[in-house]
Amino acid sequence: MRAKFIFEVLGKQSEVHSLPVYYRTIFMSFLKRALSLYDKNYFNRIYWWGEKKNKWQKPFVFSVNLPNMNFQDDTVSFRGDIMLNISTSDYEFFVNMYNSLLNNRLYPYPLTDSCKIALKQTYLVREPEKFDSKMTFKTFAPILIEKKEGNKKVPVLPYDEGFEEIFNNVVDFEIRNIRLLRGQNKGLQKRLTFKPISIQKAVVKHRVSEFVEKTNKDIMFLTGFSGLFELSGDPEDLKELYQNGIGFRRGQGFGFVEVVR
Amino acid sequence: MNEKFNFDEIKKTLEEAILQNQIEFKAFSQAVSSYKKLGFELEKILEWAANNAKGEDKIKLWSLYKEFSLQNISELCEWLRWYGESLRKSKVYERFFDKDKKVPKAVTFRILELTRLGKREEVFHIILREFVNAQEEVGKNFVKAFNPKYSVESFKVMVYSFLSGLLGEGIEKNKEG
Repeated sequence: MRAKFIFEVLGKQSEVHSLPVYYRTIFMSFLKRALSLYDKNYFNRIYWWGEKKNKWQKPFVFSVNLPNMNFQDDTVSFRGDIMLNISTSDYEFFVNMYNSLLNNRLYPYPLTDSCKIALKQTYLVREPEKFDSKMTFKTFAPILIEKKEGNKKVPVLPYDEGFEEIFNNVVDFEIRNIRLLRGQNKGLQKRLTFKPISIQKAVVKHRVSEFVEKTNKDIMFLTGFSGLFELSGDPEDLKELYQNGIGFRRGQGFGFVEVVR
Repeated sequence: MNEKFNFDEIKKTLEEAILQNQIEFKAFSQAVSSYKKLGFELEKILEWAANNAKGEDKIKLWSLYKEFSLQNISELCEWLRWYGESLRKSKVYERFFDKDKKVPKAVTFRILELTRLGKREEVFHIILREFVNAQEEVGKNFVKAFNPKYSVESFKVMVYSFLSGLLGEGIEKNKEG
């Protein structure tokens, strides 16, 4: 299931607002704050493993849509309401997240010192009634696929050699992990075929605390791809990917896809 | 879950509260809620054990799991009925019931039909949509009714329980009684 949450930026409607270029991280913090405020136990279950951070795949994906966005150095400016798309296959997660974001105590929420938001409207998105064995998707947020080379993770793009093999491995691992959360030990049921239609390389500035601690650098560069592509495989697997996103860092605002009708 | 659940400690605290005439609803409500959560966790563990056991133990564990699971379903049905009733003054009620015409709205009949057909995902989606449209919170336990581990028959009973609480005449009857 997926929903759209529309937030108004408090202040004048015509005003141009700005956020740091790593706005996905800011929304990730926002979602975590909302969830922990609403149900600390559930939040800990998803994000913590005792004292350590829980690295298990998260059963959701989100994307942020900033209207009329314009990048300038390390900030992004926009005008109008912010749209947050959240998609998941997990009923419990959805209900907890929905209740969290509905929580009045959360607002006005300061995304940054100068940008405070409040929830304006929410609605459920109608999902495709049927998933076929071949479907066309477009990205709402870049997809990150990486392979390991020694201790390093290297991005792999659709036109790179061996992409489909790596793509299948990444997605199989992702799907198996998500299904394990609901007690099913089942990865991809059929190998996926990836056919690019209109794909662009995307380099995204991002920020995660671990990276900052390790490297002392404020911003990391992630390479992925966005655009239009066709996937062939088992309809149940395609539905799982539609609902939970594709690739790495889905819980950080990457890999959100929409079906092209 | 409830790693700190300690029945002896809870029992002692509640008994002391009664003896000292410091009875607070919240403490008792929390105890009952913890007990129910523990029940559902125990059910999950039993299912896991039954899946992994061998020989005669497997049969016995399955039987124990079924017995326990049914008891949990029955408690969940009670909760769903109560939850439905509790929504009668909310905006959600108006999404399912036409107060002017005093008849259920079309969406309610659609839910009934889809429930009869055992379509969990569709039923969940429609009910959730009505909550979202009414901008109302969804009860945390409500999701449990749609857990695929429960049989289709159990699912039907649970949805009917919720709807009977929401649309039935329990409250008025209770008031008269």
